[in-house]
Amino acid sequence: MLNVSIQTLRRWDQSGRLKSTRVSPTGYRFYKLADIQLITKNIFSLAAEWVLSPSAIEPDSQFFCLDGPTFQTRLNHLEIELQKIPELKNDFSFISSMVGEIGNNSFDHNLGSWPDIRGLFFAYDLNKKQIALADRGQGILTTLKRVRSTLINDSEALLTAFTEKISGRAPENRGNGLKYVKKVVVDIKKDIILKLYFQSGDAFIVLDDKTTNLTVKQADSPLQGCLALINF
Amino acid sequence: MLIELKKFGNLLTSRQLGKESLAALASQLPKENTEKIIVDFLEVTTFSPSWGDEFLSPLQQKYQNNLLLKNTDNPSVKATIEILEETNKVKFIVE
Repeated sequence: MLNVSIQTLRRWDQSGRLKSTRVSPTGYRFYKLADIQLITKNIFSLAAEWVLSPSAIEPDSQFFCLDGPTFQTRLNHLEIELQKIPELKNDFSFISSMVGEIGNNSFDHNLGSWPDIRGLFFAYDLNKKQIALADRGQGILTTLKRVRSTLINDSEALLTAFTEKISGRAPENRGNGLKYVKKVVVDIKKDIILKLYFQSGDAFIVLDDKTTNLTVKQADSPLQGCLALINF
Repeated sequence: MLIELKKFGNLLTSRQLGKESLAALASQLPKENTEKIIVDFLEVTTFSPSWGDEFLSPLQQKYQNNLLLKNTDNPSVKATIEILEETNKVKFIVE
């Protein structure tokens, strides 16, 4: 399945890239399916497959946060791991705060209104420097339409979410999360380069430090909810 | 009055937790807005607008120029303060 030698498996086990759950007395190594999936596929593919799937199935528990407190605990763990990476010494908090905003948005804006599965796909691969988040919620257009009824499509809604102060949690006059994410990725000078892919419905946006004009594009595969990938 | 945010946690990102943190503090806050409130960010490692908006914005609204922020060197703290200032059209006083 992995097509690597036993020496490579031993090396990965020692380095933590692919840790076995146990080694039998005869030397057989046992692995979690989710860990093997992380090696054979990237986390973005796993997130996209889950959010695009016509059937609503809970993802592997390793990647799944059923509620906000679970997400908070895992975000704490991610933050600790990021702090160990020397090149992120000055900038780790930009990444953890962005992830916090995107992940918490999923819970805040879908509270009591999840169309099928409640919860958040949240996975990270620190070797590939990727973090993926996805939810099967209502998506940006539906939540923003509550306070901006003139929005007609996902593209308009996505642009509004990243550029205007607006909240889908009427009557609260709040909602700076994605504006903050854009500021961190695009506007603030940092030691690292951040890149964000964010899709909701049939619209997606890609941001990095070279972005000058925000351009929303049409996605090939529309999805219910939101899908995000952060590269650092 | 000194509010040490580290007592609420080091990673402060959730809107719900920001709201709960302010509610937990509500009975200790001065009734009059003439007393100085100092919010200390020492040992806060990650901060974001959701938590900040629920906690700092109501304090700023009530205590205005008597609200002071200190130890705001963390990059996410700085960026969050900026975005709250831009969106709420206010200026926080940083010690």
